[in-house]
Amino acid sequence: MKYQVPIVARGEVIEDYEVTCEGRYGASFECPDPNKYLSKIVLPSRREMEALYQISLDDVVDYLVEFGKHLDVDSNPHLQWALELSRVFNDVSSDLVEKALRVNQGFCRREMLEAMIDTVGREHLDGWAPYERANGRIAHIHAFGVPTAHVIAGNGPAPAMMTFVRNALIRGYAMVKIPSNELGTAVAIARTAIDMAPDHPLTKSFSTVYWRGGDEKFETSLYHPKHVERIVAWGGFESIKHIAKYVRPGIDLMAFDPKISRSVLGEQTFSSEDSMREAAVRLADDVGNGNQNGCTNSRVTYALCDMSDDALERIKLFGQMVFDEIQKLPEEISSEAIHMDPTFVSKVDSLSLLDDEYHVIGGDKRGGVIVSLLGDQVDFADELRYRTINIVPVPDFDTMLRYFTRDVQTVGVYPESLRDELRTIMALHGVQRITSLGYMREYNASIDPHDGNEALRKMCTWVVSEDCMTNYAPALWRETA
Amino acid sequence: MSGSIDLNDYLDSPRDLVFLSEEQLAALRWEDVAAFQLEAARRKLARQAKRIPALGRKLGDRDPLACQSIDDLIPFLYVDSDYKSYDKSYLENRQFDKLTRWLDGFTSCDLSGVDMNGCENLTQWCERLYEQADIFVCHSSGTSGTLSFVPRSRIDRELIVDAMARANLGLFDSGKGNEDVFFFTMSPRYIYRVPQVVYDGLEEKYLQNPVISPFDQFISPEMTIAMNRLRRAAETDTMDECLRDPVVAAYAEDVNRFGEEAPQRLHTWLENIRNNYLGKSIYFMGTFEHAWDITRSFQAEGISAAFGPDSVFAVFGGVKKGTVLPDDWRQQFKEAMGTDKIVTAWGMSELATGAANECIEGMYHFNVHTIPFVLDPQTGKPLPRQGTQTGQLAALELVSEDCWGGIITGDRGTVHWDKVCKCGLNNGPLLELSIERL
Repeated sequence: MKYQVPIVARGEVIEDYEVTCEGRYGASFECPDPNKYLSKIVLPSRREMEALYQISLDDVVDYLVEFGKHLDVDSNPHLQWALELSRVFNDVSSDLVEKALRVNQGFCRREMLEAMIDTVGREHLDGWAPYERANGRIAHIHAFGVPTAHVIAGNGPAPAMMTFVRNALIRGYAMVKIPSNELGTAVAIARTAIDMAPDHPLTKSFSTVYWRGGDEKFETSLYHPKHVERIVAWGGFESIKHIAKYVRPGIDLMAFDPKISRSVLGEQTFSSEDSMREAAVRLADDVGNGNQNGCTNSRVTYALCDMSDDALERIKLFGQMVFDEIQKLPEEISSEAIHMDPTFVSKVDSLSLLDDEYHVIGGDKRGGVIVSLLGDQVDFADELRYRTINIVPVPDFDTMLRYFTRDVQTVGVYPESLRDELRTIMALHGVQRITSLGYMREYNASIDPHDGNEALRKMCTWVVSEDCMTNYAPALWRETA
Repeated sequence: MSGSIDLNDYLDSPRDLVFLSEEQLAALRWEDVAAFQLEAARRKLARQAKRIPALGRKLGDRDPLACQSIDDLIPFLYVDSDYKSYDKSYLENRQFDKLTRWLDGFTSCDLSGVDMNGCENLTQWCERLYEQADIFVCHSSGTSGTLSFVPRSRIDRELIVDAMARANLGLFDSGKGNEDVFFFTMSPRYIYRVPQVVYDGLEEKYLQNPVISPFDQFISPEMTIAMNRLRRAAETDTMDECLRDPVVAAYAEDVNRFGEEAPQRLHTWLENIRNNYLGKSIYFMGTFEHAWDITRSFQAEGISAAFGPDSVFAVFGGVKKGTVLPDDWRQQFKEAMGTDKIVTAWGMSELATGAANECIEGMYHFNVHTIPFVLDPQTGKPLPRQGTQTGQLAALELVSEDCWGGIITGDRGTVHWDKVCKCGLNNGPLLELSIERL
């Protein structure tokens, strides 16, 4: 079967497939040579963006609401194509991808869009909002979208959809780098927009292109201030480090860099069978929902306890409960691993050899629970995947907090009282989101701060237009009364 | 041993197959070998899973007898990351007791009594394991950035050297004495790697000592790590960061000196072979490129039959880029060197005896005691054991007493399952020489 991924450049679908690329799991796909079409991908002139500002924010919202109606997976051939690609090029079950594609419609609900607009302020997105300053100067402030390269994550269809909606709301020009393991969604979105409104300025302000990460010829040409003012990059450490090379005056970087999430279980968790059961059910969802592909999934759980043999035995029992609950998660949100990295399996297997240090439950395609009996987090904690959780017993908060850095995005806490007790101190250690255990995956980063950022505000370039004359703002040249 | 053999006699002792003659091996029928391999593997798995914890973990509660076909053995093979799956912080934090406990999972020998108190570094760790448990740790080249460690017991080390001597019958006869055979190796003279097992075994068991290396020094595991990290840093332009690494900082000077001196040392070594060992029996372990350079220099100087006719050239690597070998290069080699015994093998430190040896027709033939597999590298599923298959190579070697010999390698290769080799050695599967990293 031949897989072909076009470039969509400012409303035009380019299907000149002359480059063959390897996917991550064996299959290959064809795409156009991005270098050949760079001039079509970038804006020929900033004047192209003027059309975006000849429509109102209400027009933008109406466009997106209408767009959402076209995102029905059952009837949209482009999304069906994206789903087919995910079966071949991703390691997530198609049930999960299909569910995520269906969730994408939610981004285009009017109330969601209005809530996103509120994070910036409608007045800043819709025009020049006036602010009268103490000296009489009137500052008119407008948040603008700018030509932006989006290097999105491939761990699901949501980043492509979020990028489309965010870019439309701020009226920017987005050039999306298609991830090699999520080849379809961004293209499907762009093509759906073309089907719906081919000449609409918002349709023409969302381009998608695949290029091999590290293609210096293409990247050096694209990442130039005349083409790109901002790079919004999701991705792993190496990827962000690579992109950071292109940052210079005229190009800034907004990084959704690698994030990991953790859970905290208070000592009360282990005080009864019922509380253990409840926490296990909740934690299983935080670990396994979405197959632990998201940054919101828990990878390490700190269990506060007195470190006695009895306490460790209860934690082992709790680990078994979590493992069992992971197996019960519904197919459409969680499944056994499809492709397991042998190196990862080696690492888990090696821990099972040290059975007085680690108690390993599972550790195969079903997932796994690793209880660190001596309280040492595993050295590959940030790489835990395939529904594998490391439970680390800790005697006190300080021991736990030494593991918290700004790399920790979300912490799910049980019970509730502990969450509020810990939230300030965790924030001071770099944690960016604190929530109730069992809700780690219910993250609305479109509205709430995303990885410590007010993302939509930060994606804008904020421009001030000043009126100094109306109120006679003081100036050196002005005669004093 | 002579005459035809009954493979059933070897089901519980496949290691004895190492001592069969070429004629005996050539007389085996592949159908018999395949049946023998399955049954011997099932027995080996059942026995070693009880003795080697890492294998026991892979077997779990499954029954080895449930393996009804060779492909059923694949889930029980190690992957090439298994021997380097230790927690990297053990090295940084000098937790060599923990590293020992990890290693203990990969051998049937008991390492629990080895005292690691005060152990400061990997070299001392290797020394203590050798001194206190008679385990020789063979580390890998570490090009991936992490050293793997394979624990070799005395009995396995003897097997390694016996297999090597047997494969070079006549050269390493126990009847020969010191100074009868000169072992020229391009590997360092002192190192915690497989060649050291061979050097030491030849000396101890075959009383043959002269090992001549251009690098007559000890290359420690730490220095190997530093070499690899510096090489990677040079490739990725991250040298400043790399030099802050304490291991690198401690060995950077040694590594640089080693690199600077290497060309001259190699030159001197080659000159030594050319000038001082004419007429002697030698075992040459080095690149084909250097062996061919020696050939050409002998031709230029009009020297023929330079070495004893039992000399062996164990070579690796191909010809230098741009060099075209003449069609009759083997003949030219023989005339100049005095021997046409050029051997190449496909193997790895995880296997005691290597997996396959090259024949005169330029094909690798698998050892009878080694079961080959070809896997789909993406799925890990076996490709059919028929026709011609290209994929990820794996092997299960049945001869180690104290380690598990099953490994899914990081190599890609092509196996001809049904082709009969023109060399006539046997009718088992053939592996093409063109093996590359996945």
